[in-house]
Amino acid sequence: MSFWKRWKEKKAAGKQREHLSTSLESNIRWLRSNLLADDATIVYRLLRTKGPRPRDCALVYANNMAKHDFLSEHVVAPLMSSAPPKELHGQGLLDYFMQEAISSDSMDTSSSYKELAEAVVRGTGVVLVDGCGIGLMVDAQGFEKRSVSEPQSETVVRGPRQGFTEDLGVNVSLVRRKITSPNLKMKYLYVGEQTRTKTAVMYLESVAKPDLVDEVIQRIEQIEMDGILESGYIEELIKDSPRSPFPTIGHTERPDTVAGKILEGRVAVLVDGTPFALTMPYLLVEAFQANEDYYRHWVLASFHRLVRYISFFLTTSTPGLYLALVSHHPQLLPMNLAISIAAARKNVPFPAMVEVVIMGLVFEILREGGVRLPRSVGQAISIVGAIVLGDAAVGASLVSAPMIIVVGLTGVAGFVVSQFNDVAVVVRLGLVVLAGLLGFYGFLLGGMGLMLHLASIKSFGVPYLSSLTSLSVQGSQDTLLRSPWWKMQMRPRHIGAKNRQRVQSPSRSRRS
Amino acid sequence: MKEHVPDRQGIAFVALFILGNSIIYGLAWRAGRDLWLSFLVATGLSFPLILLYSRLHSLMHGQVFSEGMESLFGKWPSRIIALLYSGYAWRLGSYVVSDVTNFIQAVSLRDTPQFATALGFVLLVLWAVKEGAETLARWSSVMIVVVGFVLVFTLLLATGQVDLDEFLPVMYDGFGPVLLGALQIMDFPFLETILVVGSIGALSRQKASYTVFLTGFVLAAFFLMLVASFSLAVLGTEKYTTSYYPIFMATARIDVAEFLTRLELVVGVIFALGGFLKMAVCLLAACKGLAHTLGFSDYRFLATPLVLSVIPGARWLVKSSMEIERSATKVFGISDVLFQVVLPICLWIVAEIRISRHSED
Amino acid sequence: MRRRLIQILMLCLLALFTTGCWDYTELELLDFVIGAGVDADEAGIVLVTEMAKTTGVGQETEFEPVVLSTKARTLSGAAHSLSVPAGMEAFWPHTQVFLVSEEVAREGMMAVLEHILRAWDLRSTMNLFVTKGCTAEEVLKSKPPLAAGVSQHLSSTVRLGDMRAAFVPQQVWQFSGDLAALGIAATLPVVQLVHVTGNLVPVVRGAGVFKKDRLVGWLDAEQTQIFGLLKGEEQRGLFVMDTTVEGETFPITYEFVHNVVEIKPRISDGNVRMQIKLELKLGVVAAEKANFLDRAVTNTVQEQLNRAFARRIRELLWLVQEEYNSDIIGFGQVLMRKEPKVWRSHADDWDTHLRKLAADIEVDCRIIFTGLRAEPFAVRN
Repeated sequence: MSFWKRWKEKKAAGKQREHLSTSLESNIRWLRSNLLADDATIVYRLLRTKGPRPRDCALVYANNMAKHDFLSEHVVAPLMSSAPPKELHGQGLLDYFMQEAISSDSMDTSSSYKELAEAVVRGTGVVLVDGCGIGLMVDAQGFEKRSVSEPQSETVVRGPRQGFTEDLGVNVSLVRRKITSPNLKMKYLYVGEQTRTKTAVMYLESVAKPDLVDEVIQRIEQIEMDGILESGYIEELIKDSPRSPFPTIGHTERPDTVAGKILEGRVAVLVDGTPFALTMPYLLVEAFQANEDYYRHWVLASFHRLVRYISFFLTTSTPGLYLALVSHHPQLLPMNLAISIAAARKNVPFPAMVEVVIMGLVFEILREGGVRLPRSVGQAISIVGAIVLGDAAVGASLVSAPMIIVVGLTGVAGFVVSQFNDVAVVVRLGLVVLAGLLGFYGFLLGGMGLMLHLASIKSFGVPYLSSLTSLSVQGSQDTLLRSPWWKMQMRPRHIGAKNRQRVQSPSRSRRS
Repeated sequence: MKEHVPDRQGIAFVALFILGNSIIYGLAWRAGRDLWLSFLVATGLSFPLILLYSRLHSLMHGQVFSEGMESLFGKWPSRIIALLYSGYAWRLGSYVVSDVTNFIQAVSLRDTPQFATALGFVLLVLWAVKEGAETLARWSSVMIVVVGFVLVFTLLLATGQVDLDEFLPVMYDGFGPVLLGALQIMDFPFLETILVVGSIGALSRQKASYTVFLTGFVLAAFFLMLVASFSLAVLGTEKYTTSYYPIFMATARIDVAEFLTRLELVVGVIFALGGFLKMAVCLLAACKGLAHTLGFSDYRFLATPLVLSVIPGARWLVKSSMEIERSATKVFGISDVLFQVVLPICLWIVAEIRISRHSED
Repeated sequence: MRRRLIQILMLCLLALFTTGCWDYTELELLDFVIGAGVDADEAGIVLVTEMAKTTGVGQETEFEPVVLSTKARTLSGAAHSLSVPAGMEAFWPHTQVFLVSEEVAREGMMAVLEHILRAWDLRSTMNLFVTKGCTAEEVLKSKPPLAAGVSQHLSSTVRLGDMRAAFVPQQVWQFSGDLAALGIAATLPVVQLVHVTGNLVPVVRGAGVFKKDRLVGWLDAEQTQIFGLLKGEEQRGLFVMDTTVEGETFPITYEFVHNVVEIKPRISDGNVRMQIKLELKLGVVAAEKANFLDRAVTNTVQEQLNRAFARRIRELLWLVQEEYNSDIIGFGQVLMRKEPKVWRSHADDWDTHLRKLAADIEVDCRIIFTGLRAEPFAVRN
């Protein structure tokens, strides 16, 4: 809060002098003492032109945010060697510098202190000329950035090895390279009072619903927050049903995924400073789709998609079902299994329900430890932890052996649907409690409630379950299974409603 | 708040409502081995009435429930009708909840007080009623797939147990039992569909009412016939007519390689899903009706007291599992004739007259 | 909002802790009943149960059967008081076999069936048996050579297709269904104790014939085989029959491959005749001399088989119709289904009608394979 206050005060102070004066000296003094005060990284390079009437200029830039060699070569050197005619002053002089001296492809002018100061901080070189009330902004952003590499959170066997980086410009270009159509529209927004994070809203004009685009832009513009450090901030601030653990906005690190979503009529939001792009609306089925599905044979892709659905069911339900069977309905177990579980549990001191909860917790601890630790150590810890803990615990009759299998299955299946990994934990716990109380009936109540919740939430006006509820062959082409591309001639109904035809003339040759 | 239900979801909604809690009971047991005939007769007899219901629904198209009622029947008559149906819906909802709790207690949770099982169920229904028909329709369109898949799968597994000779001889005791059986099924569950009229909001277009109601009805009738005939063919006439839950007994018999056994669980799942939807629809209709009677346009604030009152209601209406069985398999009670046949026909005639007068003006 | 949430949560927790978990049990606190039997006693009923006792800790666990018995006036009472000797809650749903002693069966099965059908925890897929020449307790206490317990032994016997020729398995629902249906009587497979290398081993063989719910007589293994064929039970297994080929008589071992039976009523001048058509497809497992490549040989063999089976069926029918007067084959049911009008007039007095019910028997045996050899193995000098 105090930052906020101070910033407001400064803003009030700045109001006294909003625009540049014509005196270079006073301009620099003002910048130094007010907007850019106490900032050691700002460089004020004073220089003087040649010619019959040398002019005093200053290049202001932020150290390490701007490309030094570019500035020296294309700004400082031409300025120092330029010889502006005597009679030029004011705007004319500036035009002369822009047209004949500085060799940069991107330039802009401004007379506002605030704008100039913000530009400097962002990495732009600002040229101030004595006698001009206007500053010149030379785009020279250049800082260390990561090169484009395969994202670690979404690896593929087959597919492009590109992932987004932390730089918005690069990210936008990565998407643009996938969809080289003038139909791909982009709008830049600046979010965050302090960080002024540059955010790009991308969509395909001929496909995306205009309402949707307006809604997204409006929601982002309404954000009031001091800083946006990651797209997760925006996600949480603009998503529907904010209390629901289910994501109603998708995120991905892959440009091909983003391009695919945009082609379906969705809107993508890219945020500077993070490799994670947001896509919206986001439906339940998308958690079970992977970009690789679309690059492989559709039969295999469909099979793996089914596996994902089954895994999600397993990871959320196994402990609950196990508990319901063991503690409420042993008659539903086959006899030999019931007897062997009973034997395994004979010396275990905990009731089955406590056992399930404790083992679930242990698993989450191991997983969290594995994720936060350096990759090499993390893996070792989780493996050793699981095996040693599990084996020893069973040997010492602290935990029954079937429980270890249940926890293991739950954990492994959870990794298959990574988008819902966190959701699964919540759902699982709820189902365990209900199953412990009311057995299978409780489990069923939980499942019905979950479905009711899913049926009630929407993402940007689109029902979360929409493709699953269409009950038509056409509508469910890309849900439980993936139809081959030559069959998928339509875009999803709720999203690409503006222009549903994906393919104008179906390529019949493929079908024969 | 305007609700909008796509056609296919509407069909799923109607079908699941009719399947509802009826699927586990020995429907048309009075017809014995001729129950399939009863189903055919009942479907034929119910068809015109369902058509009438869909006509009523389509007349109210595009309007909020209370507006539609008022424009059709005038202010005070519509309020009285709404109150009557609201009571009927509430009573049916109470029956459903006691069906569910009794079933649960009979087959699985023997020591859990019925209050506890009912409370979990009712809270879920309360939530659903607050969410409204649109969410429920979406919910049922997912669940109908589950129900359909599970039913077909179970029936396929049990084909080995089916003895088609159980259906012979046809009409040994004449047409009387067949008709009685048919009346049984018409009363419960076929014609309870009248409550869907009050609960479901706008469909895609005015004509869609016919598609939704008739398709949903035929689909459900077909499935019920399949399930009931299957149970009879597996159990035999004697067991079918004397068991509380024939389909439950029939699926308990499935044994595929000593591995796929104890599938009666699956029947419980279907029953709970259907019962849930049925009760939610009943209470949705009850809430909407009562809200209209009291002159409110939004029903949601009535949901909590009305839905929770079903638990004592169920205790008051039903005192043992024998009573449930009796009520579920009775032959057309008086109140049912009134609410399912007489009143709808009267309403329809009034509505048509008023509509034609409006158009003359 | 948050305060209300906390209040609700607290209430829920309170409700949880004060009421406890109603149906929550722990698996290890149950005593699994895997088989049960009923014997008669002067006071009422003796319930004998085989329970699973688990031994071992952790991953190496096994179970060994333990036999317990309780006495009470009714079966329900006995089942309820089982927890006393068992020490933990007796858990019935996994019971696989249920034995009824001869004595109890002769007095009527209702005492047993009522409990089984009404109880929630007894499955209708249990296998029912009747003991012959011994009590249920003796059977359950006998030591089968390989299986862990009598129940496992019996239920695996039932599952064995090859043994089916000697008995017709009956699960509770089949037995009770036959008792309840019109025009059919029930049977149960018979368990006997047989000496095998010094041990008494339970063996399933033959059938007990019921009239209403009382045991009235027995069928031996061979008669049961014919009975199974007439019931349309799929038969597997072997049988040996002396066969005359080209003047020589020697035993041939046959194998059932496929069997179809069709029973139809035929009405002529108000008289009912049952037409029984049995089609058998057989394989030859061992034949000393007969050469089945020769069509004449095959024909004569099939002729003899037809005659033999027809004779056996006639014998069985006589036994059932005359001696026991119990319609275990279900002629009445067939009549009701195919000729309901005739049945209506016969139904009241079916027992007497059954006695004089005539049957036309037609057997069609076909030998369809002869093992791996086409001709008999010949030994030459």
